[in-house]
Amino acid sequence: MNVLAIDTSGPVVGVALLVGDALSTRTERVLRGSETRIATWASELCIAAGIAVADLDGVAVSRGPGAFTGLRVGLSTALGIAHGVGCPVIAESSLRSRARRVGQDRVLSMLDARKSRVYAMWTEDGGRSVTSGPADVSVEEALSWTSGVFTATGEGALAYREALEAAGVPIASDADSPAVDTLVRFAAESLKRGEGVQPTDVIPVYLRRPDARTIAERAAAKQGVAPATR
Amino acid sequence: MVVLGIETSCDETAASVVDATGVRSDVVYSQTIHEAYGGVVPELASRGHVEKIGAVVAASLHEAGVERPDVVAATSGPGLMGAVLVGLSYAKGLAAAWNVPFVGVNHLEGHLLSPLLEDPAPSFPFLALVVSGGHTTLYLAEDIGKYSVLGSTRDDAAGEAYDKTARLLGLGYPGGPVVDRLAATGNADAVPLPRPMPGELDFSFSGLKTAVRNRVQRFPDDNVEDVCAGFQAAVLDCLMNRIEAASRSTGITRVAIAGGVAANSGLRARLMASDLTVTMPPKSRCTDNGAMIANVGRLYALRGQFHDLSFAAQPGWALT
Repeated sequence: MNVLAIDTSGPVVGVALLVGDALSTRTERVLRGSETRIATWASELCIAAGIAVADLDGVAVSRGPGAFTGLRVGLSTALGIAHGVGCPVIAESSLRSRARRVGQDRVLSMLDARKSRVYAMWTEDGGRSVTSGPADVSVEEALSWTSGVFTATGEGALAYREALEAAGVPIASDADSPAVDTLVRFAAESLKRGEGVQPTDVIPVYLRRPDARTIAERAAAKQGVAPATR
Repeated sequence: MVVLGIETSCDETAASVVDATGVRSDVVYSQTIHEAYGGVVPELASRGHVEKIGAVVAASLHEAGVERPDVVAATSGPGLMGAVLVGLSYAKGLAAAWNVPFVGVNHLEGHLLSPLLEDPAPSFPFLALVVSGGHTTLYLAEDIGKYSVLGSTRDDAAGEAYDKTARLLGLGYPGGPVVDRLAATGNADAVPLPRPMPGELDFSFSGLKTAVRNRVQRFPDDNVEDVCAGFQAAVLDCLMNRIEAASRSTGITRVAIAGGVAANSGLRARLMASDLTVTMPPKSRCTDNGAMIANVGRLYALRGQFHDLSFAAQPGWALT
């Protein structure tokens, strides 16, 4: 089975290719311009593995949460590839792949959501069970989800290293990994179980509304009335 | 050569197939969510593109009866970056999957050359006015890829002035079509407004917008149709004046218009009544569309000019 995986939900973006048991990956920390990497890497990894992109049996992609614009570059590229190949998509939470990659029972997976917040997910049983999240919360709130021994991972854990260390929470050694190696292996299993979906059925997970208010909301705020929907 | 073109630079998700016979399909999904916000919200536009791009591309291929085009082209700028990146990334994914070449297209060049899809198409050289909510520029087009700017707006784009005037008059967003419609039954002479920067090829519309606001404050009882007519007459005088001046100074009488404001019925009537040889795309192809992107992609592909999949989005991609 040939499976490609893409994750652009954090500052380190990555592409992984699994051809049978042979895994190859490309990752890089990018501030901007991930659109110059992802399709190129996908194409190059296939060539190096001796397959055509059209030979893919499935495409896996992180559907969020994550930084909106970066997330969409990976999503759009993945959906375009799957559309062109005519193969199914496995859309997985960016936080869950990161949690699974740690390989431990209890993991708090976090991505930096700016504004003093994180996108967080609490998993048990090596990522098989999602106990809390994904949610847009403060680090303190994420930490309040549980007690006992656990490991934190994800760029969010690195962004709040001090708070986590003060709470005695260890951080995974490569917490900044986009976890595409884990994503591609789990996706291969999911595809074997027939869990792939059509590219048009993939729904991104943002967890946060855009910073914009409707005319009605602006008018309500001007009059000191709480907006109806927010 | 069969080319798929994808456009997502603002609030239209569009895809089209163009080949030597012309436009084989032209699918546009216009986002309506922005009306509630009084203008385009970039993040909402980007989210909307992700939702619709797959269905829009599939519909354009199906309508054209094409399974795999020879080339994929996509708008790479200028525009709202988050929005551009959706169509650009999707197009690159398709090109990688199909193993076909990719062309990154300048959105403005898409508009500028869209008259070439018409029959008869203007021959080079011609004057091209690209006039929309984001741009108001008069170009001299000498060949594919060879353009010079004769005049451009120093502040607001003409379409922006329409939107701001409509908002001032409580007519909603987008404002161009409704102002155009109301202007048709109004008396322009009843609401005299200035024509900024006479004798120049550059444009300025921010003063006109202020003049409308002052007028409405001083004469609140003005008939709204008359205000629209007065405003539209002022805008069209400015546009026509530059086109005619540029034609006189260059000796070129072939003129093409493109961009959202090129759908304005008043502007189209004024051009039809002029002595110029005018090419006007149908109104549906004045606003953002995939056919204009596929067209430019095809013109460059025919010259063997492609881009790598590493081609970057370019928010401020200048045409000249």
